[in-house]
Amino acid sequence: MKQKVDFKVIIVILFASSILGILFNFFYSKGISLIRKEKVIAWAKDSIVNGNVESEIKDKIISGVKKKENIQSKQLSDGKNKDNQILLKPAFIYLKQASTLFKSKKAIFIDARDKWDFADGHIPNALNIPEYSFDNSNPILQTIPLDKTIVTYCGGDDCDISSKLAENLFGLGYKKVFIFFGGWNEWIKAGYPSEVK
Amino acid sequence: MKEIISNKYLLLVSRLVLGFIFIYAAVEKIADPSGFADSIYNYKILPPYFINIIAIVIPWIEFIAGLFLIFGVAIKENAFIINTFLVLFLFLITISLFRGLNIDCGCFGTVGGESVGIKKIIEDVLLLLLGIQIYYFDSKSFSINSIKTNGIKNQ
Repeated sequence: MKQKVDFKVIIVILFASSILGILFNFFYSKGISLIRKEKVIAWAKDSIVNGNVESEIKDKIISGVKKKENIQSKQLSDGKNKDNQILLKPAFIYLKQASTLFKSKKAIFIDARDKWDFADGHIPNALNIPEYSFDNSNPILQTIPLDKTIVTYCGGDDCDISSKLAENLFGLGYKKVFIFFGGWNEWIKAGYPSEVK
Repeated sequence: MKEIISNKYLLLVSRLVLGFIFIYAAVEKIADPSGFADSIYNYKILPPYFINIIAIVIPWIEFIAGLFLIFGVAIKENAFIINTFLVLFLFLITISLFRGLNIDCGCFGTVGGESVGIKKIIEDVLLLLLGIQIYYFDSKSFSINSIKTNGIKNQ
């Protein structure tokens, strides 16, 4: 016996589920606002990338993201020593800044993509910590001191695993974590060196 | 062939499998709405304003549809909802692949997430086959409705 789909029932189910979802979200501790707030991307100033005293970080609009200025880092008591400045959260850096850090060999680059993408090509000497399987006890992390400057990156500017990885690392106590916004695509487009393993 | 596909035990198994997968996927997303909202954002296909409300509502529809499918409440209607979702996901994953987006699928929440890829498309198609089977050969066996009308013995 064939029955036709009753669209009234479907509408009731959709409606009831939606109400349930909204109610749950309202009382849930991790609930989110009904309208998405614009995401602010915090860009690191050259000075902080290079380790100077200045500590301001600029925010910029990316795909409908609002422009806003934020003080992202603060200086400890005397403010004279460049080691005294700390980031309050991982900050984004541009290609140029990434390249400066790469050339200066001050930073460790960490590729957040999976091992296959990594094997196809990556920034020379970069380490691979896939964000999907991030684990606090990852042996690679044991080899990196907490005060080391870290730059994370992923495929390009439309992936977010580099920033997730950066947040994870920051949570572990790494205090100088930058996210190379343009990622692998921008790096290779600019004709910078790559390495295949 | 048709007899095998429309076998009531096979249909029950399909319902349970599809139902549990949808419930599992839904619970992960319900637990982490902001993570799911970020996943939707990464697909870069919806205006930002709609993303959160969708991230709040979709997992609950998946949850209820999965639950109803398992218990056999309005099987055809819930199979319809689930199939619509599966077709939509298939479409989204495929175009993301073509756009070269290297993003977290968000299919089962963001915990242990997997990136969009051929594997996800195959998974999706397999689930869709189950969904279509349930939709076309909707059997009232082992459903709440059948218990109500016939009693358990008559099944």
